Amino acid sequence: MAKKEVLSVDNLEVHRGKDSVIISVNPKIYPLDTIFSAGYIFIDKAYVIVDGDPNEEIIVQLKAKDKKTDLEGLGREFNNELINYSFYAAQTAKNMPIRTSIMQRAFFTQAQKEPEIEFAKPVELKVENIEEIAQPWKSRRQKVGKNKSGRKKSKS
Amino acid sequence: MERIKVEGRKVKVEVNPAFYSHYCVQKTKERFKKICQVSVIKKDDMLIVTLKPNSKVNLEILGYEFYNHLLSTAKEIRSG
Repeated sequence: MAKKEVLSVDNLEVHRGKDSVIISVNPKIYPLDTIFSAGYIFIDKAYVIVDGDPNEEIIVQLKAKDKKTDLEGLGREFNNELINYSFYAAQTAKNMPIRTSIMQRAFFTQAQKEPEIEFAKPVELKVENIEEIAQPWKSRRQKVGKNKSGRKKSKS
Repeated sequence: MERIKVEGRKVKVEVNPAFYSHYCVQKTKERFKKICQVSVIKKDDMLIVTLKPNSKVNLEILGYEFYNHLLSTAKEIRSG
């Protein structure tokens, strides 16, 4: 017995001969942004065509790139992605005030003036006998009569 | 819903402007300019895109690819 060419299940219409599935979507439930986002996921596996009436009924056609693809599964996966994206959109809208306040706080903190840092004044060195500093260590030791450890040489 | 029609060495893609704006079509057209000759006309509230490839390719697939690029551009425009 030959397989039916067109199979209608729920909001899906499977066209086996054309390797495509047509999904009808209610725009009052799923906005256009959600439909585009869900469709974008399928770009790798299928060719996506969005058509219909944006106020009454949106038609999404998925034509599988691979002929072995389970078309009904593809359509059902699209339905799942619609739910996924509408949930994401709802969560984003819900978190919007919190996110805005966090951003405002971050910008406010950044806008505040940074406290001025006081640097210590440079210390002035007082040198009494500058000629002694100019002399190399070796000659100074010989003059004073100190050994390497810094002690004065004993007379013996 | 036949939106892609192969006519000789050309493929005609019908685009619904309610979903894909004229700007979106023009932006996608720029992408396809490198590989084919593209023309866009308005007919009966629909945009008709004619693609004539420079080299030998599967015309039906070219039409479908144009639709996928349209979707990508539309999403890009909407997300800002």
